[in-house]
Amino acid sequence: MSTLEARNISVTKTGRSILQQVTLCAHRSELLFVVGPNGSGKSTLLRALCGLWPVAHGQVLLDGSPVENLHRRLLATRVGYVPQNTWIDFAFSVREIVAMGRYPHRGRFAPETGADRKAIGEAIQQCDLSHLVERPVHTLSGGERQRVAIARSLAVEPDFLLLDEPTASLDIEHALQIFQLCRQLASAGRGVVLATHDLNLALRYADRIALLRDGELVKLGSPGEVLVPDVLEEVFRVKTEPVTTPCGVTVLAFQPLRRLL
Amino acid sequence: MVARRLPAGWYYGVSLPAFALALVAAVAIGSTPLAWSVVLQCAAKLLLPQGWVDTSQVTKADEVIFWMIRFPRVIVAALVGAGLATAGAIMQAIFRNPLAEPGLTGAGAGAVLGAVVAFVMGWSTQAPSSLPACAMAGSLLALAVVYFMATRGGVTPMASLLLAGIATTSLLSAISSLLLSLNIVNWQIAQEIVFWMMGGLDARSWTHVWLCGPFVLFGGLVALLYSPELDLLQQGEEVAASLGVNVEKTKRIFILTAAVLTGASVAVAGMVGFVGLVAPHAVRLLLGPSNRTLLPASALCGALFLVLCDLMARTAHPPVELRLGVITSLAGGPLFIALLLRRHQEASRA
Repeated sequence: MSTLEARNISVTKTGRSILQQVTLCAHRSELLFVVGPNGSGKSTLLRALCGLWPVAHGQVLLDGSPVENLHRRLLATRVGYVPQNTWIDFAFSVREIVAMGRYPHRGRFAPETGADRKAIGEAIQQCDLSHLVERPVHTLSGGERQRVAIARSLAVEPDFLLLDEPTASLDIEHALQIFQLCRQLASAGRGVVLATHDLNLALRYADRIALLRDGELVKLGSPGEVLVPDVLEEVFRVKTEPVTTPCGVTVLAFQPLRRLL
Repeated sequence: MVARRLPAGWYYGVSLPAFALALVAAVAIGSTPLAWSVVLQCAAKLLLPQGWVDTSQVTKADEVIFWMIRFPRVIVAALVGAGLATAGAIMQAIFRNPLAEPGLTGAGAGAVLGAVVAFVMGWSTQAPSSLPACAMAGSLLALAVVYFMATRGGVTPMASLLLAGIATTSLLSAISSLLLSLNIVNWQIAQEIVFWMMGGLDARSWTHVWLCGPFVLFGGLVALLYSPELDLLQQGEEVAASLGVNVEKTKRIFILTAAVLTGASVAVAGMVGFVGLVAPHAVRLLLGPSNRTLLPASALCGALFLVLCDLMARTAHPPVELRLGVITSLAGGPLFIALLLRRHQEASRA
């Protein structure tokens, strides 16, 4: 069974400590959410996990071997990453963008192979972009662009997919689409790690949740273990009340601890 | 709305014959016109084995004008146009901005200053090839200064590179202007400097072809070789890195390539504006932004544009030759505004 593991990692950036001794392990077929207040180190954790950011202490391990020993192209074929801002002001078509995901697999002058075309086609289909393949990407809506960015990472055919706040600027319909897509990807056998601020959607879709505060892992476990009022009050400084709707969905209602004057 | 693009075959089907026609016209037209048949016969003699072409109509004088004066000049124009257009395409991709131009990292202003120094010190009269050499050295030195100013711990943020480039460009331009004003009483030097700053291809010879050609060819090939990485950098550095691109190394390759292309072009032609901005921009609108297609196509477009501009500079106002940089900006400015207006129209339709 494939694993992507952070073992006791610390990350510093310009002398400031961003992550301290974080240990967690992502598995395939699992949807792992990373939550925490602003500046808690969610994005840094994802970047460290895909080898984009060097760790000061500890190790990131893919199937037990340190990622810094893997060639960057080989690592890229195993771990995909979708950064937060993927805006671009050039008229690349959706298919061209998705096809770029094949870069780590392709030789410099190799033409597109059957395997390339199959991976690109599947990525486009999974992200529901078939009707948009010829569209220039800068004419798409935010939700569509996010799906294009995810499709590009899927075209890599990675074992693990890391997404940094993929729904940050999306309306609720498109946000739900993205979460459902991630759920499907996990069910299809990939390991998905996703940073988000939306605790209600985390509660609904996550297999496990990692809760960060000030660069430290506060709690790691099932949504029922992590998103409990005591913990949320300590970390986010809000009062939380779980409410179960008549159709059986549990949502968290939040209240500030103190009223602003 | 789908991406409406011209098939690359159509583009070359039109622009290659147009380029050939422009070459013939640029060689034929001038203060001493050559007959088109003479030009074609000289060209055929150049390309085909000896004895295949009947060149009895071609006089010795015709041959000198063709071979020693017009033809090398036209080739230099094409090389400069191709070099600047390729450098512009690279800059627009790595800065992720369709309005970037070749001189953004200080290479253009450095090359001009290098040449100005060669004029002022009198090197250019002692050894003519010291002029392009100084220009090339100036462009690489300027890039080195900008690069080291913008780099911390092996990482070069593009925003820092841009700021350092703009600051260095204005500093170097100011020094060029200072040297010009200090030498304004020596009209001969001052005139050469002013002409250099306005660009021009008067009296360019085969020496200039050999001075600039290898750099342009080499730079163009390097850019083409790394075009998949250029596409990825254009998506953003994090995206490129996550797909396995060595981002800092690739950026260094492209910044250096663009500076060599710019330096080699300015070294033989002086400051020629707008080609590097307009050619890649126009070709991108026609063929799309994918760099494997875009780089060679904008090189051809830049070459065609500059051959035509140089023809106009030579012939528009005889007997005075207009400066090439003036013509490129006069032609390129309105062209660029037209492209922008088209873009606005498309944006409002989408």
